[in-house]
Amino acid sequence: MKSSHMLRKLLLLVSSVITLIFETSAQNPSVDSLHSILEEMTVTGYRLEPGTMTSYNIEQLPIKIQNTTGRRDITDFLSSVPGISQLSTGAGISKPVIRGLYGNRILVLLNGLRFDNQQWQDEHSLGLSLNGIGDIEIIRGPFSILYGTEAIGGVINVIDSEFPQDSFLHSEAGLQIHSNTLGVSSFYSTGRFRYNRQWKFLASAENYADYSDGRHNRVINSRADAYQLRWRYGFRKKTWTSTNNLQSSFNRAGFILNDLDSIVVRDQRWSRNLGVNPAHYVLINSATSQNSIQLNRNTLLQLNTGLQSNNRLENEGSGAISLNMHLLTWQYIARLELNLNPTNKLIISNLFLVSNNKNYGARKIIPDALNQEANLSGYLETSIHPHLVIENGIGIGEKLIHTFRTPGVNTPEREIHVFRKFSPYYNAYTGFTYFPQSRFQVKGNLATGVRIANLAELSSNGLHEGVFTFEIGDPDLKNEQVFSVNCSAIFKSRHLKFSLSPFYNYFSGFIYLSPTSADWFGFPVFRYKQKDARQYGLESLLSIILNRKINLDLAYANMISRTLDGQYTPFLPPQKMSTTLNFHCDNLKRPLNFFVGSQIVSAQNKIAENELSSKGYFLLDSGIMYSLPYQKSLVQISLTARNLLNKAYADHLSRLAALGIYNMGRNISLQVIYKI
Amino acid sequence: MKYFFILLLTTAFLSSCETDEGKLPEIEFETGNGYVSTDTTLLPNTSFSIGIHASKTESKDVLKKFNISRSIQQGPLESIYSQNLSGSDGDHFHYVYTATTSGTSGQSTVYTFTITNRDGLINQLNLKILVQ
Repeated sequence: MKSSHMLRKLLLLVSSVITLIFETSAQNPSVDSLHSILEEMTVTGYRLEPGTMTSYNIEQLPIKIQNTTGRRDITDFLSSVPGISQLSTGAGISKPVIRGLYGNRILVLLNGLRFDNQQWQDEHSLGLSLNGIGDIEIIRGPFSILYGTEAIGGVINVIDSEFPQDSFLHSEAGLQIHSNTLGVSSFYSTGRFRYNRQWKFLASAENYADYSDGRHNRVINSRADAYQLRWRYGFRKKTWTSTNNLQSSFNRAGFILNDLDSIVVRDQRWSRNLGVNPAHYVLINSATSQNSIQLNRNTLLQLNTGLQSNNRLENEGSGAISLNMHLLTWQYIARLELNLNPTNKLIISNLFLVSNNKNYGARKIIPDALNQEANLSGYLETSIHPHLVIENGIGIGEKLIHTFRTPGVNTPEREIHVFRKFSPYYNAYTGFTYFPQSRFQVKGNLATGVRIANLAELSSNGLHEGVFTFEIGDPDLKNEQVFSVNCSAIFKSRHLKFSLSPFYNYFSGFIYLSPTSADWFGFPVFRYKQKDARQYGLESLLSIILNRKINLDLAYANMISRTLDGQYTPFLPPQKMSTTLNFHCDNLKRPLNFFVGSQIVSAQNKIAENELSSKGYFLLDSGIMYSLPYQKSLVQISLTARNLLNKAYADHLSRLAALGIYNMGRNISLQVIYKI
Repeated sequence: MKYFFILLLTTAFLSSCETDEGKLPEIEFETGNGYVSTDTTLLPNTSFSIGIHASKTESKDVLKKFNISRSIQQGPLESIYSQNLSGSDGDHFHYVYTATTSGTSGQSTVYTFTITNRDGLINQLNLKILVQ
């Protein structure tokens, strides 16, 4: 108890110091109401309404201690959701895969704006920490009508944790330790609401040594660390609500190459040194503003804008940084909501983005370039009656890519030259949501999505690090267009919840990297090409609520993705079935949660050219969470074991499987969060 | 405080960086008796040797691949020899290429010798053999 007091005092002291710092610039005596609650501005879809009332397949995933313990980052967390996987290059480098699509085919929103972490290469991590995140929304299927290019396979909207909602100072500190990597993740946040203004500060740090696989073999250089600082400031005036963010993060991850044994320095087992062996460093700074202005009773304007700086540096084993790229992006998304009458709402949306990509390193694979994109869409939502909503929309847009002369990539003697490419595009959406009965809901939509080939696909002309293949882009690639059908049937009763979500995508001009018979001074040449492709599959969830304390969840996901000539597309997620038995005990003020879960992942023999098949595997996870209120504070403790049986397995979407490297073995994580 | 953040952000966004062009790996012809090291005219069906020395220029940026390609009569470049380099060859590599000129008088062949380090930086030498 004494140590608890000490901790509380320490947190209060730190919080007070930070409060003093921030509130000197935040105080304003013009009090409208001390108790008014500021609304969060971020919303993935068109409306600030529950996902059940929309025709698109949207799912909200709250970030809670019981489902984040043992999860390393947002991608790792999302991979537990049916239909979502992770494409990984070791434990520290991973990106989300929705229905078999990843990279520039998935749009990630952070603070209501596009988050661009140079996802054009498979080994570029998304790199978003779970610390400071409140919710994640997932849209499965294209949503290009609102977000333009890249929202072709799905949208991941990362939403910050809520502001404090009263005038007290709220602070939170968390510590998580992991047995497998001796990893430590910690955060501290504090904030308050005062005089119609509110702020929140967060600092976090994570650090992981190399992981061990299920055979207790150390995977050399799989270490990583991450640091972030965030400051949010919000205010509310009569008709204007604003949330502003400053964010800075620095991530480093050891990089595993196919010839790592010949270049790696075998340091101490629990070394976290990332300065010698190959590693990726990513420094992100952003300043964003999310605003909502009620123009009149029936008209709401939402305007999000921001500047993001992304600096990617890579040490490819030469002992120094060789790739050094800086991407600077400015963008805005404006949305005007007009309530035409009680049954019709019109939403007009406009997006504008300009970014500059510049190489500073010796190694270059894509050229310096300027990108500009704009999208304009109109969306009509009609409530035919309380049980039926119809949504229709159309959108137009364009993207301009202008490359500049970059030594080693597009100089006159090289195959790829400087170009300027203007790509217009069009999108349409129609969908409905219908409640035939109070317990039964049906959703469906037809949507198009579009993606303009990225800089790597259009203009790469160089050696791909690690794998040493020479990759050549094609500036004449046409737009990749998807025509998608998405459906959902949901049944909910007191003891049962069942959902089934089938989908079908037809890709016109699916872009892929294809081996050729040519070589470039001894290196195999790969070229970006296009083919039409089809994808189909489903996700299903059955939740049985046995009583107030026990429920059982069963989830299943499977899909097929093939080009029209019968070739499977790469990294096709295998069939996956997961079961989770949850036990919840809300005994007085001390809730206790326990779960035991399993994943059965099938073998994957549906493989692309030059890809290896993978074996199936079975994983068992378990965890226990306990909340302990103490005076005015709350202590949450969570203990989770992942891969409890220490299974040696290689996931099909692990890029290291081809090198004979397994995924992580047993990992027991303990997380403690202290809130005051 | 406000100005501190503005300054911090401005610095982070606009900090200028110098472009690093990198150091190319070194490659040179071996000179001396018995080696061809400049553009040369030789008799038909004559044996000749070209010696190559290559070395790394930065401590860990080792040599990764050596390749010989040729173009006959200004035709397309074809790869005729490739070797992955490791161990001591990654620091310094020596190779002697021996061939025989064709029997066709007036035929020219341009040989391209390429060395690549692990950063993907390449350096090349060219040499033209003309059959008298």
